[in-house]
Amino acid sequence: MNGAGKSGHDPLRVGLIKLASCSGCQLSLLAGGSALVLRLQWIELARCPLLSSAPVSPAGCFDLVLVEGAVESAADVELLQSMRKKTPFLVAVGACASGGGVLRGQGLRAVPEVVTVDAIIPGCPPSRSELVTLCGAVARGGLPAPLTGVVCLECRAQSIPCLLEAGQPCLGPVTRAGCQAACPGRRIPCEGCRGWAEEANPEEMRRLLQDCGIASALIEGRLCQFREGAHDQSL
Amino acid sequence: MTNRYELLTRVEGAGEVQLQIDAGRLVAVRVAMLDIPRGFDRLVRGRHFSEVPRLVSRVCAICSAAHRVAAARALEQALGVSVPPAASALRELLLLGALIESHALHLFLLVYPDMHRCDSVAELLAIAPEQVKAGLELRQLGCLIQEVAGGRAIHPPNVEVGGVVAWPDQNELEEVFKQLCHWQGRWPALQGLFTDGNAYPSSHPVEALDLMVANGQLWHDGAKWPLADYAGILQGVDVDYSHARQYRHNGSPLLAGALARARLMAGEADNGLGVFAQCAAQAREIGEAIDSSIAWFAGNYDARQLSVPVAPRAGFGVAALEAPRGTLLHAYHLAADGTVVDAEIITPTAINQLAMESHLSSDLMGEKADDGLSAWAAQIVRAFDPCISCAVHQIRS
Repeated sequence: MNGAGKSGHDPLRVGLIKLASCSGCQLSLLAGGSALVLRLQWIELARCPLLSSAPVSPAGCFDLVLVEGAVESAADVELLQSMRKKTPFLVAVGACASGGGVLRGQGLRAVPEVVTVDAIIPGCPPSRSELVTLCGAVARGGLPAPLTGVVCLECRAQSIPCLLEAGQPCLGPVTRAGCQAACPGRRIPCEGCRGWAEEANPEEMRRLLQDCGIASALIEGRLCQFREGAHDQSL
Repeated sequence: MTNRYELLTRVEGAGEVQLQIDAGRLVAVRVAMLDIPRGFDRLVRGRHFSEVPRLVSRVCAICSAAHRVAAARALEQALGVSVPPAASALRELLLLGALIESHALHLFLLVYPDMHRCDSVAELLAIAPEQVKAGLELRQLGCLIQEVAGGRAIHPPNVEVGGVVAWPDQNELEEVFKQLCHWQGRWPALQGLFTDGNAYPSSHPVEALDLMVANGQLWHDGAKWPLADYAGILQGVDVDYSHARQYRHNGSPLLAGALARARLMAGEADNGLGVFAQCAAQAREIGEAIDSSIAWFAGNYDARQLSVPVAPRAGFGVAALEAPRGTLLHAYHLAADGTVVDAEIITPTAINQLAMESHLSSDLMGEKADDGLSAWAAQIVRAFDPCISCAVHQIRS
């Protein structure tokens, strides 16, 4: 990945925007021990108040803007619109930016409702490898192919024993793949933080949760927490 | 009279220092937390207790383990259950990992650039690459402990009401132990970066009432109080310039965090470091957390018993723990069907807000309002290690 700069060795200029959020998406990008040293050599954090006090030039452009968090105020909208003009790639990162996440029902908006986004990276938090892959793809001038499939398949590929078969309320069958089934891999049921996959069959999932003994009153809260459904259900 | 609003950087979340200047000198200073309040106290209302730990861990990514454990403990109290010893022990290991991660992030990524007059850790890489690398690796150790004990470094899903879901694999525990032993040998040589008095600007001793929680009691001002009396000690006040509620005790500022713990438990003085004694205390706590984590592995845990069944009932529960940044309190009222009627979350940064302001006054009042003043003020606020996402979680009354 090192030296993947768009022209020679220019670092990739990345802007990070935090709206209503917990900073977890930024911290995912900035995790990883000394591997981060390498990342900081090819990714320039051109706007990142969390890590840098360097002044941000108002006229400066970005190769990539990552937005974490849900949209609350007119100032947020204005910031997003101005960033949109300064970058070819604006990406909604994490559950709150993509669909509201735990903030569903709080009267906030998802980022795609406010500006055109070039991609969304799901997850609460998103996986570091997906964020690094995104940066690498943008450095080469494009976007990564969207991931397909569900977490269930990632378990099968790794021969992780099925938690649903053991009676645990795992959301692997409906949840977008891409985390390498990290939680089921530690025998912890998937909480669905990457949102619903296109092929999700919620009816079947409801039945499976019932079979696990989840009371019907609790099924919707568990199943829909991280679902992106901004267009059919206000956040 | 002019006002200067300086946005804070290298802190978690959005905030600013407001400096009032008269005749070229600082005459008043305030700290405003500007992140959007996400209203977690409100959003858990009406939700079933089993959903709460998953929701409230999202108050903050750096403090997610502490929120998740505090919520689980408060709810278990409300529901009248005690978790099995192995679950309790695994949560302790998770919290030790959280402390190592949070302190390493603060010291190496946020504070250390100031010592070399740099804007960021990226710039610092050219000047002190070995130290930066060490800091990142140490932070990774904290993340690894949380991944193994909590299932994930951010928003660890392994903690649920009633216990924990799964016991870690033996090979993962062995890897953690191996790295801890490595760091036990390595940390003493690095700790001096943050305990050395020459590393910081001069600063007066922090004058505030030290606060911490231990053994289910609030330690405060030379006395120990039952946790249930928290509302009498932590008096919340809404101010119009900050999105976070301020806490005070009879008008006086309170101090939570590593420095308060050091002063309360060891009667430790600040060695002339003033507010920067907080960074020195965090550095010492990293060493202690490494030792405690190693000691954890000497325990015998019955991994067959990880949780207890929990039935809904009406009740009230309050739990507090020492999060890396200080005392964190969660309280819940439950209805008979197990849904949340009311919730309160008090965070260390909200507790420390007034101390930040009074300490800025104490160190900077009357100083010349030149270019360096803002950076100096920011450095002081940074030493408190504020976490603004945490502080503003609350809806204002």
